[in-house]
Amino acid sequence: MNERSGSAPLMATHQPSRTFAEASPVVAGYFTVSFVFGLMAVNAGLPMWLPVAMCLFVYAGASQFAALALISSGASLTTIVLTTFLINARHMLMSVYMAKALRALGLSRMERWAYAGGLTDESFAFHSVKLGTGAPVNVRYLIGFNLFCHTSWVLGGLLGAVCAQYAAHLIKYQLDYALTAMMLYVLVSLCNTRKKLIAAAAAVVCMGALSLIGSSPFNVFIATFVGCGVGVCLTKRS
Amino acid sequence: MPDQTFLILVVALMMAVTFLPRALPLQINTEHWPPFVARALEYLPVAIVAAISLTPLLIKDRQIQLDRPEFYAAIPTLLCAYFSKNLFLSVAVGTAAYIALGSFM
Repeated sequence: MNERSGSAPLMATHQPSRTFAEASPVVAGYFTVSFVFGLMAVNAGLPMWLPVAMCLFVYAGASQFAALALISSGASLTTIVLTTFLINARHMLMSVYMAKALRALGLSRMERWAYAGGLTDESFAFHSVKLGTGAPVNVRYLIGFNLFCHTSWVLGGLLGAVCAQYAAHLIKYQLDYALTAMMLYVLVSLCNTRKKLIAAAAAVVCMGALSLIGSSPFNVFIATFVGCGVGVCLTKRS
Repeated sequence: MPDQTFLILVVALMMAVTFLPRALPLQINTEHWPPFVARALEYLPVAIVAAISLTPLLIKDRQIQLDRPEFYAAIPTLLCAYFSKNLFLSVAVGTAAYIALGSFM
């Protein structure tokens, strides 16, 4: 690493404690949700290693809970894998965005793979706000941020699995709303221009209309394309 | 309980179909993309975050269901995020509102 002296803000983001502070809302939210995941998995009669392995290797909230339900109901391997693929396919959109947004940082091939391993809804949301504000960002900050989140996801799953027989009543506290609140905060930060607000509204209306017809993993793709399309049209006019 | 081999296969294949969509697009060389793609991508974060965060609060089981703590708690959360610009405060307000509403509704 050749860090130039004199670039104080850049240096600041190198500090792991600073990165941890910025990731802490996601860390806390992930810990709570994966704790519940660990609890539910063991209470469903699955071995203790399963929730931990899923948190470590799969690292995708909604699809892990779906897989749990499917395994419990005796679904086939094909069904579980296909459902997982469809639920997580939205990450392709985020990955395409990051391919462009991170270009200026000059990530190596290895760093791209490492970054992709930690790409989730929440990390994408936080990083796109950060990149949008023009704040100094570097690879170590991004990958460090993801590592903190991933670690807390695995630890939450582990602790949930270990505490399953004692802590089943904790599920009723529903602290998972913290993740929703976080995404709403990020949404407000992202709607910093009138055009973006309109694009967001278009995406929600489209997603809402599609969800009324039926919930499909493709809805989010269509809604995102519509939102982006509306945004582009607005840009051309002005 | 399903047998170990089945569960190991489940985890391994779930990992593959989750990781590849995250990783492969990142390897694309974006240098020669037409400018309109860049303009469209500018709106991608806001569109996708709005779609995945707001819609589940408005719609459940293919119906508009606003009379739920998830929806009501979103109102103080959004207001707090807009006026305070403080993440921790917004999360605290939102979660507290959700728990409080949940015990009344």
